[in-house]
Amino acid sequence: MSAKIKAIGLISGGLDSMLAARLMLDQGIDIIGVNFNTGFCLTDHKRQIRKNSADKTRLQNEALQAGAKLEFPVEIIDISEEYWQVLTKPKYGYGKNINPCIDCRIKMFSRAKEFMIENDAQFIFTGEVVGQRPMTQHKQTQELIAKKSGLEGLLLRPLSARNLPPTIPELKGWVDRDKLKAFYGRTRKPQINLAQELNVIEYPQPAGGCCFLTDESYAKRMRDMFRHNMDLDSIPRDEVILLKVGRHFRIGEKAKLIVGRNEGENNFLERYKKGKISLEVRDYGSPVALADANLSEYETMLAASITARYSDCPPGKEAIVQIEKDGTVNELDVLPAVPEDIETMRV
Amino acid sequence: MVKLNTVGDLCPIPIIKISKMIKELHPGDRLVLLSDDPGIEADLPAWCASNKHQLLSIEKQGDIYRCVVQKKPDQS
Repeated sequence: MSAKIKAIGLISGGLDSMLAARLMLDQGIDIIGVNFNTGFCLTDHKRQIRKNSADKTRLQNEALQAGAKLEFPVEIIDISEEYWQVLTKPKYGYGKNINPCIDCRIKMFSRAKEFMIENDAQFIFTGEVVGQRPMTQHKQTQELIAKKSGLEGLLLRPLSARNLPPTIPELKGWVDRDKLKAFYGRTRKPQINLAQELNVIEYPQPAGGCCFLTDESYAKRMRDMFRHNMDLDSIPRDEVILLKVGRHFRIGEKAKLIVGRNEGENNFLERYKKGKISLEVRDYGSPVALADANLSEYETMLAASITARYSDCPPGKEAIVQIEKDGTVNELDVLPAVPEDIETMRV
Repeated sequence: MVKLNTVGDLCPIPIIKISKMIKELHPGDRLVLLSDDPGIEADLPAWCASNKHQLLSIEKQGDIYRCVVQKKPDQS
């Protein structure tokens, strides 16, 4: 008896990847799902800054849920460290913001290929639909990504396969091409119809973008960080994580202040106090603010004043700001900053 | 029983860590996972279900979740 054909699926947990997985399972393929942690997933971040919620569905990892619902194993692979090189030195450049989508796909597919070999699988599949996304899902770009990741002929897109040249899994008869789809473009109707046909009932609604790197304000902060650091490889990864939260102010050439905007962000910032200066206003409702450890006297005053601006201390009234560094707390009396004076420092 | 402390780690890191550690255990072995991430309540049952491991319990003690997982039997 011949061994069962095994495939690795890139699973986001969205409808497209669920349908692709289901089409493979229905053809008797043994599948393992992989989901990559780049550190820039918007959904993961929303999960990280949310308050405890009674609604567990708001806290779930959709790739794991897809595996549980369709009964296939899912592995989350951490590529956050190696992803830094992709982000800072993209061979194929950035999209509209700071999203190196083509290099990102090449990185993920290359890693998926390694996983395929480690797990004795024969090919890789994704839920991609030709023409759906601007940067990575055009036919020529998909061919480039497959070639550069060493997966030529081994990358099957079950939802668009009949719009594409036959792959090795189809040519060898591992997969019946006639049972694959020919979806094209941005419309979601064919996927929704297929979901009904295959009885895939529970699936997450499209979240409207899933990566921080496509976010305009995040990109602005990242570029500011690149401008103020000569050696990009030496940037601590915590600094990159902190770009996701709060209001950011460039208060000096080498100094930045981050002010939490709500309880979730304040709690998040609390986790990153180590090695930084943290500021909070005494006697009033106050955000948590974090600044770089080596502030000048002027920068410290400025940081305190901006923190007071976002506290419940009334404008024009003096605030006492508690400044903590390495476990030692000092207090500083300042007037809350005037919004117009600090707007130019906003990043 | 092996203990894995992921307190301080945010999702999906606890799942990445348990996934690595469970590969080093024998079929049927049990592992205790500690986490302070509320996301573990949704992620761990789903990860166990998709990978056929058995989730024996999740208990919240203060801010910490104590979860016991049994590795799936050898299916080879």
